[in-house]
Formats: sequence, structure tokens, C-alpha cells
Amino acid sequence: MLQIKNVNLNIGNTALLSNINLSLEQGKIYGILGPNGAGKTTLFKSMLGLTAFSGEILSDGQPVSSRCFGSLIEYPAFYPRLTVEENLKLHARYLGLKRPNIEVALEQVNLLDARKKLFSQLSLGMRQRLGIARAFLGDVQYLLLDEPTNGLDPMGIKEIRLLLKERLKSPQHCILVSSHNLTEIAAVTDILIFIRGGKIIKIVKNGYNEKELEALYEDIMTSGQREEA
Amino acid sequence: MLIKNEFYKLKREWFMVFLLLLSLLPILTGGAGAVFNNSAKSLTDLFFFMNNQFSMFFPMVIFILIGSLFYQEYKNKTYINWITYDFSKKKLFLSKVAVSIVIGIGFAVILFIAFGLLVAVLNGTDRLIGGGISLFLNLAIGFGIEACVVVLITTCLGAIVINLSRNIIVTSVVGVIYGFASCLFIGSESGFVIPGSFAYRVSMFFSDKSTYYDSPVLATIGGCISFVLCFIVMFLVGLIVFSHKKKIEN
Repeated sequence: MLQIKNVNLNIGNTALLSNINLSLEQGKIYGILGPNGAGKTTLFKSMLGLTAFSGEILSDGQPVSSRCFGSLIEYPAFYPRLTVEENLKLHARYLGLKRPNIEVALEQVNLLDARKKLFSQLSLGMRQRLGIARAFLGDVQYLLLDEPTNGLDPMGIKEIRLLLKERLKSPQHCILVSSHNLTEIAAVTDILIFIRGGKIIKIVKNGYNEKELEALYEDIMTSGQREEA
Repeated sequence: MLIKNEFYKLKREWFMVFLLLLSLLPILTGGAGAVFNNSAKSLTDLFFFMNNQFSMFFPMVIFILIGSLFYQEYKNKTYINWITYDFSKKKLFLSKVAVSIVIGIGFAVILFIAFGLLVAVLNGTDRLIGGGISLFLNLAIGFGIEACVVVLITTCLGAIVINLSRNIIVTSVVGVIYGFASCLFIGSESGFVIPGSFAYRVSMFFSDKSTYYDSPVLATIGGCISFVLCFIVMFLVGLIVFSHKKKIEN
């Protein structure tokens, strides 16, 4: 279980994250919803140790190591002159994996045939899928996917949805997905976490279809604005 | 392992070929001049010409090299990945600096081998006056010392500039300015405090002893102390600049 306890992050006088408390279980997919600048990416970066936050992030009661996480933050960052396979090999070497199962990882995301292609030759959808394959390589417990469908065409979005729901969801993994795409979030997640202004404002079990979720999202976000007004 | 990974990342990177050609510029221009000019040249003159260009251009090559090693990670945002691998920033910084030093010294070795080939060609066509194996080996020792000083100092300085600016153009321009600036102090009697200038004079000492400083003991001790101090200070500053990027990486 991943526990986030009293996490705060301030840059100057601006609070980017305020008193974040979450308990996230393996075997579930969590959807993080919020407008631009709500703190979704900052929360992910904090989990990875990329920010100077205060508070605690624990994995099964112990301080979490960034090696527990697989991540795809904002953009799938790879070396453009290395092939698909070489990029994953490099990642595995950094993780110290003795026998990384790169073929299985690539097969899982339908990229086995493209393994000899340079990263620079891949389409955006293929890059996103490679990012997900990398995030799952090794012994990760928690997977952070920040806007994984960003910039993808409808077919690409569908591929990512099927990948998450049918291939990658497992009892060993806790998956966190942030997205603006309510259709996607409604289709793949088990729990919904609403965030605004760096604060968690609501956590609900997902039993919504797209329209219901849209109404709920609007209600939660505008009620916050009304309170502030 | 980190050093091996740094080399792995350079696979198919064309800027390495470009930098190698840039390193060989002193030989390409000097060689062309020597081959197409019918007059004979002495080994020391040939070395003097090559070394002048080397001391001016090579710092720029090293600046671009170390700059590119960091910049490619900033440009494609892969630096976010390796920060999350849980290695200390000290080790990550050290691995990039080490790779730059190894490649820089490698380039200098290739340049001197090319110089040796040029000397052999000119010697074979009777267009080289004087010189011999012992002089050539002396030049090799002097050049080796100069190359080591230039590579170590400029690598550390380049690492500071790229991590402050995160801009390869700025880093390259500073490299050009540094190359010219250090050449300005070559003729000065107190120029030994500048490691690049000191290294040049040491190198030329192995070619012609009369070109060394008027106070050789003071200059040698002062130059060595200055080099060691500059290297330690710049290395530490580079490390601090690199490590102090943790507020929010975006």
C-alpha cells in the first residue's frame, strides 16, 4: 500500500500541494482528475522525489524509493538515436535488472515488431506505449501515468485504454492515471480522486458513465469556485 | 556501470563525428598547407602551428562535448528518468565528467597520431627539416601534458556553464570565448596562473626550451598549484550547480 501523509509543497508564497493524504492499494487503478495547474503532475513528481516536498510517502510502512515507481510523466522521454529495444535495455541497466524481459514488455504493448526502430521514427502513440512498457519493466509496485492519452488519435486512445484495463491491471500493481479525458477515466479507473488548487477535494468509487462523470466533475469543480467566491 | 551507460547513450550521435573533425582541424589546415606548399618545414615549426590552433580550438570542442552530454538529457527530458533511478547526483555528474574526459583525451590522442602521420608523410617526401624520434617523443610528452590540463579544466568549466544555462549555444559561445581568452595570456610572464596558458608554455618547452618563462621554478610551481586549485574549485562548483536543481524539475 502506498501512503501519502501530510504532503505539502510551497514555492515562494504559492502552495502547489496542500496537506495531501492518500492511501492507495495494489490491484486498483486510480484516476486523478483536476483542471490545469491543479497539482496532478506536481503530485506525481513529488512521489518520484523530484520536488522538495514536506511530509511522508510510504510504501508498506517504509519510506518509498523511487525504484518502486514506474512512470510516464508528461512526455515519453527517450534517447532518439537509440532503438526501441536499446532504450529499454538502457533503462534495465540503470535499474540493475539482470535478465530484463524486454521482449515480453514490448509484446505487451504491441511494439515487438518495432523493436529495431529508432525512437525518433516512432509515432506519438507508439512512443506513449513504449513509455508504458518502460514504466512496467522491473519490479515496480506503483505506476504513475500522467496524461497517457495526451495528443493521441481516437485509435491510440483506445489502445491505451485496452492496454491498461486488459493487460496491465494486476493484483501486484497500483496504477495512477491523470487525465483531462473524462471518457478515458470513466472507462479505466476504479477510484476517482479530484484535485484542485493543490488540495484533494473528493475521493469516490468509480461507478459512473461518461455523462455522469462529466456532471460530477462540473459540480465538484464549480462548487469549489462558488465557495471561494 | 554509469560510465558504460553514458557511452551507450552516444550510439549513433553524429555530433561526436563533428567534434572529432573539429578536433582534427589543426592537422587538416596545417596538413593541407604543408602538403600543398612546396617549401620544407621543420618539425618544431609544424608542431608550433598545430599547437597554436589546438590551444585555441580544443577548449571549444570540449565545451561542446561536455555541453552535449548534459544537453541531450535536458533537451529530450531524459534527465527526469535518471534522477528517479535513485543514483546520487554526485555519481551521475561524475560519470558524465569522466566520459567527457576520456573522450576528450581520446580526441587529443587521435589528433597527435594524425600529426605523426603528417610528419611521416612529409619526412617520406623529404619536406621535413631536422627532427627525429627523440624530438617527436618530447613533443608527444609536452602535448600530452597540455591536452590533459586543457581537457580537465575545460570539462569542469563547461559542466558549470551547461548546467547553469541549460543551453548548448551559450555553452559553445562561452567555449569559444574561453579558448581565445586563455590564448591572450600565453605570452604574459604571469600567465601561468591561467591553466590553459600555462599548459601551452609547458608543451612548447618540450619543443624549444627558450620559449619557457623567465622565472621557470616560480612559474612551474605557480602553474601547477593554479591548475590543481582551479580543477578542484571548478569541479566542486559544477557539482553544486548540478545538484542544486531539486526544487521542482520541470
